[in-house]
Amino acid sequence: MPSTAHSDSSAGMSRRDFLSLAGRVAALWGLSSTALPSLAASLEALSTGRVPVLWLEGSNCSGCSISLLNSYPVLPLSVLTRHLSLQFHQTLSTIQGAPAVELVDDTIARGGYVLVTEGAVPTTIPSACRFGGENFGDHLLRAAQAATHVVAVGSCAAFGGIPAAPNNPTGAVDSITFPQSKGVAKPFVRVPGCPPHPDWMIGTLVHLIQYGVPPLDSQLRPLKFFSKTVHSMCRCRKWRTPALPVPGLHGGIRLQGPSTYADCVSRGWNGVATSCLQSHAPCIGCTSANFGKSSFHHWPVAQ
Amino acid sequence: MPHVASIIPGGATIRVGGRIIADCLALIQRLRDFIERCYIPDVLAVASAYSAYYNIGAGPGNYLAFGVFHEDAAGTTKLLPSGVLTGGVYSALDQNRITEDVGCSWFSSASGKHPLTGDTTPAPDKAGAYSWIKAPRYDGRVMEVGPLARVLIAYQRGTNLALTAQVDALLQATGRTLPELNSVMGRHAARAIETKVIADRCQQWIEQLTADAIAFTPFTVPSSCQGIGLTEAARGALGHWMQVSGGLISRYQCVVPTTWNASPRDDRGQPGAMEQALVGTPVANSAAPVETVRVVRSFDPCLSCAVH
Repeated sequence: MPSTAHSDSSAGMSRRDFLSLAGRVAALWGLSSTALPSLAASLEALSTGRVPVLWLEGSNCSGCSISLLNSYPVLPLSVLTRHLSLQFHQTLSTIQGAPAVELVDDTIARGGYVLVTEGAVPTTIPSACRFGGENFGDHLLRAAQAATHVVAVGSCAAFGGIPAAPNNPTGAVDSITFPQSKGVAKPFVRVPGCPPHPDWMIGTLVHLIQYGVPPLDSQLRPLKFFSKTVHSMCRCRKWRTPALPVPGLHGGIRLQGPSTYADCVSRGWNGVATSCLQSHAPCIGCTSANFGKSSFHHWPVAQ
Repeated sequence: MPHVASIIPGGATIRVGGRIIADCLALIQRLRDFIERCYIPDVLAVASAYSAYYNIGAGPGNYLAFGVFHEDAAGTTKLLPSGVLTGGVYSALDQNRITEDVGCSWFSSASGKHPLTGDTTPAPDKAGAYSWIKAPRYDGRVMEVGPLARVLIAYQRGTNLALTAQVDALLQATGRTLPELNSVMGRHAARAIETKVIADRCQQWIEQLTADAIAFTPFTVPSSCQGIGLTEAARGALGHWMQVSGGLISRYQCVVPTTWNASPRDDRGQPGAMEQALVGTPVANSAAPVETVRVVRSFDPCLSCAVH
C-alpha cells in the first residue's frame, strides 16, 4: 500500500539537502525562475541529467494528468522531482496568470525540453482552445519547434480522440499530425489511451530521457506497451467454455479487444490487478486511432 | 481506470463477491482515516490562518441541488437532498425552470431555452460574447451549485442529523454565522463536511452489500424516447437531457456544475456566481492577484466540463 511521503524538515540539514529540497519544492510548484534567481542557479547545478519537460494541454479533459497522479508504485511526486524537471503543468503548477505565461515563454525560449502534449488541436475554430490569449495551435507550434522531442499523451493528443469525434465541430486534429503538417520535424511519440496507464506515460518519458526514443510501432506507439492485443489477454477467451464462436462478439455486442493494442489487462490499474475486462466490462478500444470516431460498442436497441 | 465501462444503463457489470466487499471496506476505512486525520485538520488549519476568507468570495446566495445517493428505491429520499434556496427560503426543485442564455456566449443558438429544446451551435466571432460557457438560470435567477449548495440545502431541510451536527460544530468552533459560509472558506468547509458525511455513510452502504448479489437489471433503450438525468457530481448539480429517435440520439444537452458556477452574464446582464464572488476581492498586488485565484478555486471549477 502506498504510504504518504513526507519530506524531512529537520534542523541541521546540509546545504545540499536544503537546496535539493528547495529545488524539489520549486519544481513542483512551477515557480518562475525569474522570481527566484538564486534558486534557479542552484537548481541548474543540481539537476545535471534531469531533462526539462514542458507539459501543455490542448482540447482535453485533463484526464491523462489525473491518471499520471494515480501512478503506483512510482509515486507522482518522485516522478516529477527525481526523474523529470517539470517546468510547467497547467493543472499541477500553482503559478497563475501572466507569470505562468511568462514562465512558459521563457521555457520555450531556452529550448532543450521534452514537450508533452495532452489534448487535440482545434483547427476550424482555432479560438476554441487558448493559452494566455494565444490560440493553442499557434502555441503548440512554437513549443514544438523549440523542443527536443514531442510526446503526445492520451488518445486526443495522439489521434484526435474525443474532440475529433464526428462531426468534429472544432476541426480537432491530433497534436502530432498538426505540427507535422506545418513542417515541424521532431522525434514524435504517441502514448494513447483514455486515459493512458500512468506506467505508459512515465515509462516512455523516463526511457526517452535515459536511453532515447523507445522502439515504436507504425503509429509511433512504444512497442513495449502497445504490441499485444487486449483480446490476446482476455480471460473470457482463455477460460470460457465453450469458446466464443466469433472473436470479439460477446452476447450480441461487438467488442474492440481484437483490434486494440494495449497491455492494460495484464498490467492492471491503480496498483492492483484490475482492468475493464476483469470487471466484465467490454474493451472500448481507447488506445486505437479510431477511438471516439465510432461507437464504443453496440448495445441491443429495441426496433 | 479509463471511462468507467463497468457502470452502464441498468447497473454494474460486476457481480459483487465477498472479496470485493472486503477490499472496499479496507479502502473506505483508509479513506475515512485520511479524512479524520489529514483532510479535516488541514482545512481547519487553513481556515484559522486565512480567516479573512470567510468574508471574501460571497456568491449570489442562491443555491441549487438535484440531490444524490438514493436512500430508497424510488429516490424520494436522498443522502444529500435536492432543493433550491433563494434568499434563505427553501423550495422544491422543479427542473422545468432551468434555462440557458447565450447572450454573452459564443453560440448562435437560441437563448433562454430549456435543455430539452436547446442546442449548441458555435459562433466564435459573435459580437458581445466573451465565454464558451452558457449561462444557466433557474427561474431567471443566478444559482450556485456544489458542496456549499448541498450542505446548506441539507441543513435547511434538516433531514441529515450527522450533517446538521457537523455544520453546527463548525459554526460553534469558529464562531462564524451561517451566512458567513457564503464565502471562500465556507465552500472549503462545506466540501470537507460533506466528504465526511458521504464517506461515513459509504461504509454503511458497503456493509449492507450481500455477496453474489446481482447489481444489474437488463435494460433496453427504446427506439424513441426522452430521458432526463439529474444527479450531483463532485462539483455540483449535473443534468443531462436526451432525446432518442430511431435508435439514435437526436438531441443531447448537458448543464454541468461549473456551467452554473462559471457562467457569464445572462441576457439581462446578471453576472454568474463566480463573477459575483470575485467582485470586492481585496488584491494586494495587481500584478499577482493570488486572492482572486483563491476565490475561483473555492468553486473547484472544471472549465472543460463547463463548456462540454
